[in-house]
Amino acid sequence: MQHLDEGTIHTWLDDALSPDEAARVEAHVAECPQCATAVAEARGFIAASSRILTALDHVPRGVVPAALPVQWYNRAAWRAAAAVLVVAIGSLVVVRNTERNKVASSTMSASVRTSDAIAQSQTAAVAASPSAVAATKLQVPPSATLPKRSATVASAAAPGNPSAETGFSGKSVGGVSSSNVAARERALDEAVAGNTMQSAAAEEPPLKVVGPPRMPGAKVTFYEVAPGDTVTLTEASNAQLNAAVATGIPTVEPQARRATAKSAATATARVASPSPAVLPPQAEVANGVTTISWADAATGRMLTLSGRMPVERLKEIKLRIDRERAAAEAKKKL
Amino acid sequence: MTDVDRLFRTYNAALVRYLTRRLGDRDWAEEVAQETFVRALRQTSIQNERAWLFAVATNLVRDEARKDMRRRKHLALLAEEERETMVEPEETTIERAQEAAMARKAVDALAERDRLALLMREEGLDYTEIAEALQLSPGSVGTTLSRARRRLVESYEALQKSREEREKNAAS
Repeated sequence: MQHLDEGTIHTWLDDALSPDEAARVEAHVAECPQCATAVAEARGFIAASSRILTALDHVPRGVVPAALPVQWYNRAAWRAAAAVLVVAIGSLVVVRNTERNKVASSTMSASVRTSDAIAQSQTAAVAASPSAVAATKLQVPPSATLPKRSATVASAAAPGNPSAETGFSGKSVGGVSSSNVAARERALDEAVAGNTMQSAAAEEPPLKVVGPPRMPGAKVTFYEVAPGDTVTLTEASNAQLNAAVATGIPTVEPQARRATAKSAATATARVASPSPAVLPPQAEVANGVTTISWADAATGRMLTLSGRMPVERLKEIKLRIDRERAAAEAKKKL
Repeated sequence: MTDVDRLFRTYNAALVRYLTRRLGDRDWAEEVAQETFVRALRQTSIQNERAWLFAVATNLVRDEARKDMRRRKHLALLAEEERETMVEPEETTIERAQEAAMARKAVDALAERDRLALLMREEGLDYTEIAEALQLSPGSVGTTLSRARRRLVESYEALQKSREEREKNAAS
């Protein structure tokens, strides 16, 4: 018998031969070592190819998702992060708006009254100031609110405040109009500041310190109350003498700086006068520069604020200075 | 149990495995298998069920591939990438993934008829069924299978050898 060809060997091993043929092949393999070797080899090929083909079964479900597990994980993580961020920002906006509306509605009548009070006299608001500062000391730990707020937030938030822009534009210098929407908003802000210190302190950024001392013999601090607008707080080395000077955009209006310097000088002269605690609030306008003076509730010292802006805007800044000074004092005590 | 239910239960697993091995994509394989059973529904009678099903599935793959060369190329590309990245949902070792990649390459290196005959045989089709499905003479199936097995194993071993050499070179 001829040697077995490979096809026949595989056919035999696959049990696909007729019984007669199978018997013949079996007899030949038993006698022929060469064909026995070929059969052994064929068995090896059959087993090996089966094993190789089994390896193809570890195919993922779908080629496209197969390459994606890592990306899927990343995408999910990013989506989750984005969702958390969106929810957080949304909640913040809603809460802030709700609080603001609540405060606004609860103090609306108060603000109208305050606006009238400003038109007639500044006494009410100024008198409310010390109690407001006291409220800050008692209810609002300054470390929890003011110090944590960053200066960038202060400068970024300021442009959104219409009263700030109007206040520093100089268009309504020294003028008080109850029908003016901006004036009403300022009055509202002031009422909010006076009546609900906590929310006001939480919403209003601290004044930003922008410059080094500039006046010899006195401690002078520049604050930025709005982008481009600075306020100067002057504290003389003499403990009895304090002066705060606000200027409106000094680089653009050099005249205003000179006027401010002048009014600062007058302010200094006036602050030197005794019995600051009982001194009634003063307001005067000279060369477009408004000046107000009051007794600092925390130290009992006299402070004077000047600037090219309406009285109510100055008063707003004054309240902020009051608060921040009170906060600083409270922090020192802590 | 309706006839198509019986057909499905009897042959679906083998058919999907055959198609998966053929295509390298389980989803595509299941798609083709389902279409095969849908075609079987339209038949009044089928002489050899298994041979018919494998033949129709094979032809569907061929037709689809012919109709949609772009998709096939895309999938082949993706399959290649997948083989190289070796990312699999199942718990798998790198070695196992490399084996799968080499197996795919070795199978792809076969002639189409050899490959299909071998895959069908692995699913238990006998020589008559394979001959019917692939329109071969029954006497040539043994030769086809022996050639397919030898070539598959030899090209797999060649791939294995070159991989071992690469690893040796990388290690030294």
